[in-house]
Amino acid sequence: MKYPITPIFAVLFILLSSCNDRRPIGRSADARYIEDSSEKGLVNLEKINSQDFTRAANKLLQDLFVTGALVQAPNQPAILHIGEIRNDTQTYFDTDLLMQAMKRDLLASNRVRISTTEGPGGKAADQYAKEARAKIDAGDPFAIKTPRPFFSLSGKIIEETSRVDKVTQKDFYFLLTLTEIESGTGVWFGRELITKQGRRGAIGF
Amino acid sequence: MKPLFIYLHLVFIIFLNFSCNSTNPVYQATKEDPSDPSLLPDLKRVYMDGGLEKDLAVVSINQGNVNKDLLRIQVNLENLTKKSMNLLYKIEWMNEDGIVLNDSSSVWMPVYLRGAEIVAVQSIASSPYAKNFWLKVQRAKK
Repeated sequence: MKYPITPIFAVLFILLSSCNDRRPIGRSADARYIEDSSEKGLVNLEKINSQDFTRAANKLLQDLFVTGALVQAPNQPAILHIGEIRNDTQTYFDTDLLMQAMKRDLLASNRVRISTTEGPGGKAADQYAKEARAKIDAGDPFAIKTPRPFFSLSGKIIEETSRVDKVTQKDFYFLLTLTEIESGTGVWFGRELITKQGRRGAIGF
Repeated sequence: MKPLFIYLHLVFIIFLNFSCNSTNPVYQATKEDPSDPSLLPDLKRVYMDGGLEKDLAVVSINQGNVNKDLLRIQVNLENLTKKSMNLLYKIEWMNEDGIVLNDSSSVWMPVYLRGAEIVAVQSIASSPYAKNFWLKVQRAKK
């Protein structure tokens, strides 16, 4: 052999394969754990990824804290009822993926306590608040007395798709409303938009 | 001829090694004094060579309170270059003992900086126990 070609190409092969961290070839086994909401996570255009839920929950909460709506309750911490959160996107997911992170942070803020024993009974935007309000108005002796939630949180998640040539843009709107049950009025209207654009999904962002 | 052949191969290997280098150093900043309540606290900056230190500056951090006792910060980031940058940032909140609080802030958020632009990013602690923070910034994937 005139030149040491084989060792050089062996080194080249090792270098190329070792620096390529996320390209499945053939039967290569590359499954691994990644941290929660990692920047190494998958980014799908057609669905909401885990990091999107965390971002939306975080941004909505920050907006809620900035408005100061929660500190308006006469008794602190106020009791919060979690109403219906509707998923109006094209993919199925449990809306607790959004709400559980929000509930945890809301509790940590020490501004509210969250009712877990009451639930919505119909299909209104916030049926529970509506029913509770109706019972109070009617002087119903069986109306919930103590501890009665002061706030109710409801909302929906909407998906919009736009396409130009081969580029797709997905807009996921997270719309939440905080209703003060006593007055039956909305005291906070949160909107968080997660937009993703591209031709196809990616690994990492 | 033979030394030249080996030399060219070595150059090629070194080039490959650099081109596929996937390290992405994180630029970090925190308050110098965790208990500093001033509106413009002094900062402690941590960064690695080859990272963002030449392209990005944390100009200042403003802090205040919302909801009476929740710490709120605004980080002013300046793009020191003429080119636009896609960055990711994350803010981790800590209590007075420096223990990181596990809340929804710990997620990488995208931020886009145009050339020479100053952008403000904000965060609010979800717990009244949060007294300090780590701001982490890295380049987004191209």
